[in-house]
Amino acid sequence: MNLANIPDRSWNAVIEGRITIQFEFLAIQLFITRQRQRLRANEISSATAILELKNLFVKYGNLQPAQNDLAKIARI
Amino acid sequence: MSNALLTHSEVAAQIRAGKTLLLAGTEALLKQLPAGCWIGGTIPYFMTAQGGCLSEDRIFATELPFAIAAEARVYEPAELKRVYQDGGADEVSFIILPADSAAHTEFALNAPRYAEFAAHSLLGWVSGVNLNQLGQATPQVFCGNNTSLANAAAVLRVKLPAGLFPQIGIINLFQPGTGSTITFPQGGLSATTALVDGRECNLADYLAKQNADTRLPLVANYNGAMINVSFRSVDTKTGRVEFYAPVVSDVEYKLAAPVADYVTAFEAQLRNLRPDAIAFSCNCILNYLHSQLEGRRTGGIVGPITFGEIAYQLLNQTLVYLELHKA
Repeated sequence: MNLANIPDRSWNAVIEGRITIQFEFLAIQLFITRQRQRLRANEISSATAILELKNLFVKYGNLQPAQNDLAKIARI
Repeated sequence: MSNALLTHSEVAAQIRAGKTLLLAGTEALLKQLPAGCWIGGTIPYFMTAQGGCLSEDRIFATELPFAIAAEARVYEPAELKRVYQDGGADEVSFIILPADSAAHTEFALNAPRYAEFAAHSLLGWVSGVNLNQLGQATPQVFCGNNTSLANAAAVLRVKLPAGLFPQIGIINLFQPGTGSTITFPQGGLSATTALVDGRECNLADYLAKQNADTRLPLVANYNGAMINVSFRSVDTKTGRVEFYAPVVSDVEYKLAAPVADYVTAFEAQLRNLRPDAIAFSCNCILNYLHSQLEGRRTGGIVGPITFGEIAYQLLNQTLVYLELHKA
């Protein structure tokens, strides 16, 4: 799945916690929780939080649970 | 490939043969090992193929035969902030921290704030002591030689062959109970004040009034992962509650629902795993104690019983495992 095909509104919904998704891959689960905390504390912008999350999906792109999690975001 | 309790001489022979090893045992045994490609931590409790046991005359050795290269190094507390950054793209890293040390506290409180958090595969455990020696013996780690370290992390960087990818997972049998939602205005390893269903109260008083079973952890849902914070102590005189891992402000916790039988519930979760695909695992001393795992088997999942588990960050009352997958 190509990350570029997922619209910004989907990434924003995930990173801002506006929707609840039960992800599968532990690194993604922990990282999103941390990104939301950083956003609430104004430590990073939404754009940075999303970019870092996308990078994590690229990093773990060979693992099935990460692919499943990306598909969940694509279905938003 | 070994993933079992071995005698000191068997482990020494493996080290001399150049094998890459993760070791767990008593300080006396680990101190006598030759230098080589290994890291280790003190603990005398293990899950073995024969069941949970205490052993002070054997070492639990996990061989990492997939390593095409490996390097052990010590991280002082102030260096831990680089523990993810320093990991190579084609590596998985194992970390052992001594319980109740400054290194342990530093990692517990700050790991999610480190650069590249979760972007590098880091797992491991917190070393401990025989529970009969709590307060007398000091947990230690070893980094490839016989020098014991009471306040530093031992980290083993393992380079993987092309096409092999690490996947860290957890088994946590605890689910949030049906009680109140608890949040904390401030994060940390202790708390006095909490918000219970939005109302500020003293947490120790609340737990006492609820007659809460503090063998059960607080549980939070991290986007599908159940993350525990275990109670270390509850002091109703001072109103202070201490934890084995930090609570995080704004995260919603609930007291865990009881688990009827740990082994039965564990085996149900194991159906999604292949024990033969697991390269390493460790489980918590609190699960070992509260679920009376001594002499009982956990579906072929073996490894050290630990004073804390690490899967990217510090966890409590959780089994951590590593699987390796081909692309």
